[in-house]
Amino acid sequence: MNKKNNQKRLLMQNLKKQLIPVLAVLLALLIGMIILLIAKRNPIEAYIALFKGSFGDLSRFGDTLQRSTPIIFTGLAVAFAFRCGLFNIGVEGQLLIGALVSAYVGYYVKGLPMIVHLPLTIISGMIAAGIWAAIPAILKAYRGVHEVITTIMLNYIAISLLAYSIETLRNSPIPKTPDILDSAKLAKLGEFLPFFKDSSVNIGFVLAIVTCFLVYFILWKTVLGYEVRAVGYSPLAAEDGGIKISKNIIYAMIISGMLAGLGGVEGVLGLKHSLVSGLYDGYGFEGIAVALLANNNPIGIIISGILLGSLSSGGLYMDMAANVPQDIIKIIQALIIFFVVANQIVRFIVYGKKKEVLL
Amino acid sequence: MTSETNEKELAKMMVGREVILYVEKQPPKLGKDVLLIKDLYCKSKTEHNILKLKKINLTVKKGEILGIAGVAGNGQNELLEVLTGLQKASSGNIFVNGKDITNISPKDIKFNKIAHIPEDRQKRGLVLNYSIAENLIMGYHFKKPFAKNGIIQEDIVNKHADDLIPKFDIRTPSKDTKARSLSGGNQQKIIIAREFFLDPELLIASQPTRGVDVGAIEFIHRRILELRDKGRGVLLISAELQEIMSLSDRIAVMYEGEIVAIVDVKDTTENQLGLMMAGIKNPKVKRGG
Repeated sequence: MNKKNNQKRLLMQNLKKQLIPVLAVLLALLIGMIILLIAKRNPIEAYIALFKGSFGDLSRFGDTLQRSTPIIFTGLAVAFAFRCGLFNIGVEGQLLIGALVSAYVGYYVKGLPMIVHLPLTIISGMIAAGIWAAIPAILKAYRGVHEVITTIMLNYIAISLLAYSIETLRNSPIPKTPDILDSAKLAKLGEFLPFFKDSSVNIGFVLAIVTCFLVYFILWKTVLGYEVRAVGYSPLAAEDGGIKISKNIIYAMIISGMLAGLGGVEGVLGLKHSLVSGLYDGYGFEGIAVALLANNNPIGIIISGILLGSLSSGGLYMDMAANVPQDIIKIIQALIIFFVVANQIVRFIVYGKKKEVLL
Repeated sequence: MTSETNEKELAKMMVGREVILYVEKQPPKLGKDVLLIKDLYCKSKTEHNILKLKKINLTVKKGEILGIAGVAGNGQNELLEVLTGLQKASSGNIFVNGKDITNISPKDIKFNKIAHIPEDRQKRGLVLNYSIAENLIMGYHFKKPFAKNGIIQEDIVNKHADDLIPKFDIRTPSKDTKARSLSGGNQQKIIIAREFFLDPELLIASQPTRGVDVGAIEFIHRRILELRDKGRGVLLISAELQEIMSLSDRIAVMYEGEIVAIVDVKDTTENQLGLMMAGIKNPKVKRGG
């Protein structure tokens, strides 16, 4: 009897915990409405336009999925590092390095069939991003340098490196690298699914979903995942259990960097077919929001990635149809993150004063 | 009302049955040395000119419990960490069953038949956010049969938990419960189950019963004694003089990183031990005095 009650209580606690992100989103939308009212805009109209813009028809929906693809990758990257107790702010830079190297390999490596060239381009982008992430990882593992500082600094270096590379590589007045060869392009989904033919969603999205499940498998079914999570939860207990902390920090950061790099690879091989200056600016930081909203769960990241992607992809339409500046989207995104991080506030507003320890 | 009761009766009322607070044990049947420490020195982790262990020489024989008594912070922790590979020795050697295991890695100690109950179960012993089943494989999680080709074998992990939970009397609603939500005694039993599973030749236990309930204390003491009676060696570090006195066969007293005395438990008293722990090497206190 008692045991049954206990289980029920645990289940309820769990449910409440799962609801936090949903409530955070609703609260953020609610406050967004208030802001819209203050700005003398019709909030209902704005939100309808936002929804239409992101899910209104299949091609818009496809664009939403495309917009979600890179932030699913960066969300995974942030989450993987988080699981090892690391705060990888450097996903932005790792994404850019991945994009740069894949743009380079996609254009300069010639004469290969697609079956070789495409994987080579993807993998080289991933590896480059992984190496970029290995720098702060090694500094953290062997010298104790805090990863937040080093990854932020490496972001600036990556941004400058990118600007410099585009300037030297470009062969047209537009600030972008030369177009990649056909053998390195990721096919549009519209080629297989006719209803997506007007949208930019590409195989990269499928790759992102598969990667989510792969990351889930790595974290919860493998020895590597067991060790990474143990180090993240309790480094001292992990050490006592024969798990090398430094080794796992390095592995987790490299994998995180490779996931971020994939986000950049998708942008080059699937969307623009070249590295355009300013492409994917801020997507690394959106990844932090995606990971937080999903509570660092790789499967949840599919949902939170599409949610945040839809806000951005619908923003432009909202601007045109309801005359609401897109910046409101940024405000809503920031509010979502605020409420997820400060989830005590959400609990207080929704569940009342009663203090409960949710773990 | 307090005058009408005593420790033993209170314990009985709390647990619901008779509790053996003062362990009854057979005289030891000693075998060969299982642990031999020779001239062991260890420097402080932070200040390299400070010696935390000074010329430690100790032996633990098969079938014996050697207690280490001492005021906390006199080198017991460093001794434990050097023995379990968490700190490097500056010089000296450690042998287990004749094999030199000086500066072994924490990964390898279990596979040299050494079990280890850390002092701080919540920081060192368990990953509190891991389930009981996950905690029960920590340390051999990467070995067959628990993992194959880098993949954790969930069936075997679950079966392992189903076997050990009743065997070690871990009171929990389920094997998937997080270690965090169990009581101190049950948390400690997870560690004991995990460490005893590999049938250790040597047990290094630090404060094994600190902060656990009376029932669990009795259980843990009985397990440690069973191990000794099976002819295994036990090194017991405890701040509880009573625990040291009741479990150990011999007692080594540590003071400022040195072993100041090794005495037979039959030839000493708490008073005498207390004085030695304060650094007085040959206290002239008569038994019972």
